[in-house]
Amino acid sequence: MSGKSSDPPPGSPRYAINRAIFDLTRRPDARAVVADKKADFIAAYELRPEERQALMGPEWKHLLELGVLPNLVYRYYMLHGKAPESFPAAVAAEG
Amino acid sequence: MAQLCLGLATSHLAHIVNARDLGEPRQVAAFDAGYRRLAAALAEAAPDVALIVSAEHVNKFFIDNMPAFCIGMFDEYAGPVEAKTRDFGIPYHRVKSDLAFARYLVERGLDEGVDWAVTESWEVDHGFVVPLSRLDPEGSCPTVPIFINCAAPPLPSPRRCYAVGRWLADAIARWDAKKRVAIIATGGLSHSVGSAQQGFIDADFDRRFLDDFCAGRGEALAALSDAEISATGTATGEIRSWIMLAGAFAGRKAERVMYEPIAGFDTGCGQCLIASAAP
Repeated sequence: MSGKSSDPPPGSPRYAINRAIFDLTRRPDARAVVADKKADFIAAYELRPEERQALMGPEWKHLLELGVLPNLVYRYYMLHGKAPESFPAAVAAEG
Repeated sequence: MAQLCLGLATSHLAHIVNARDLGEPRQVAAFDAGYRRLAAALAEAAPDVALIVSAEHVNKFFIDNMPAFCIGMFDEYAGPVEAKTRDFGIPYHRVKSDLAFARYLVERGLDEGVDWAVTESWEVDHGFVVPLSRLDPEGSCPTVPIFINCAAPPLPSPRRCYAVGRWLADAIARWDAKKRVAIIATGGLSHSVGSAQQGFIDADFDRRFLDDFCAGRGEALAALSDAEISATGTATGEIRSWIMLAGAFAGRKAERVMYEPIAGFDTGCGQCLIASAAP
């Protein structure tokens, strides 16, 4: 099998995207990263194109469909400056 | 020997601290009054230590190393972790714990088929700190936190949670310490925060759950399937802490302190109290 020791370790299908959001939400500067450096942050993770798209959109319903844990989607939502109570409408708006 | 002196169960959402205006005032007042009732019961029981059992919201425990059950084993812990990154309504602070009691539970459990994960450092989240801020704001009673994975499936079964509860009661009774022990279960009831179903509250399920819980029909709660629970809300799985408490007080009736399906909080909010039969 190929792979360098410097590559991120492999994980389950849902692992990488959950990892990206988990790492982001633990940063003291998370809001600033979301506001100014989100693309750079996401680029550092081995993600599928649809995962990158869902994170960049952001596409809330799609993130849930991709297997992101609801607590993490919710926290990612609030990092975008959104009011928590507006989450259901945001998901519904995506059809 | 130690004695189980009190059981308390409460929803743990942070809205009661930092988003109160979202709830209908009458319902929020009922929730507040319920907390006062539980706090008075805790003060009257005067336990030497309390176990506090809760889900956690993917703040510490992540899918790279997710236990089913974990005990905090230390002299103190801290929280809420949410207060480190935003104004949460409760300041980040230290909480007294009981290392000897936690170690006893770990050692006995590992020998008797309860394979606890252990953490020796823990910044807990609102699931623990919000109830403690209302039940014991001075932090007088040391607490030992116990985590149940309710957020990252596959989850431990309700039956397994009930069995661990039964084991806890037995282990406490065999603890060679003249201590009074309370158990506080937090979480639930039906809610789907962070999912496409957020806002859905299954009040019928919640009321049936509380009927069984208060009648001492813990076996009925243990028999719930994950599918049945998940159908009522993607986060309703937190009721596993209540089911563990029901196991610890198997057969004991409980007082229904309050139940309100608070739409503005997206959660069916309930609180119960189980007094011990022992003097």
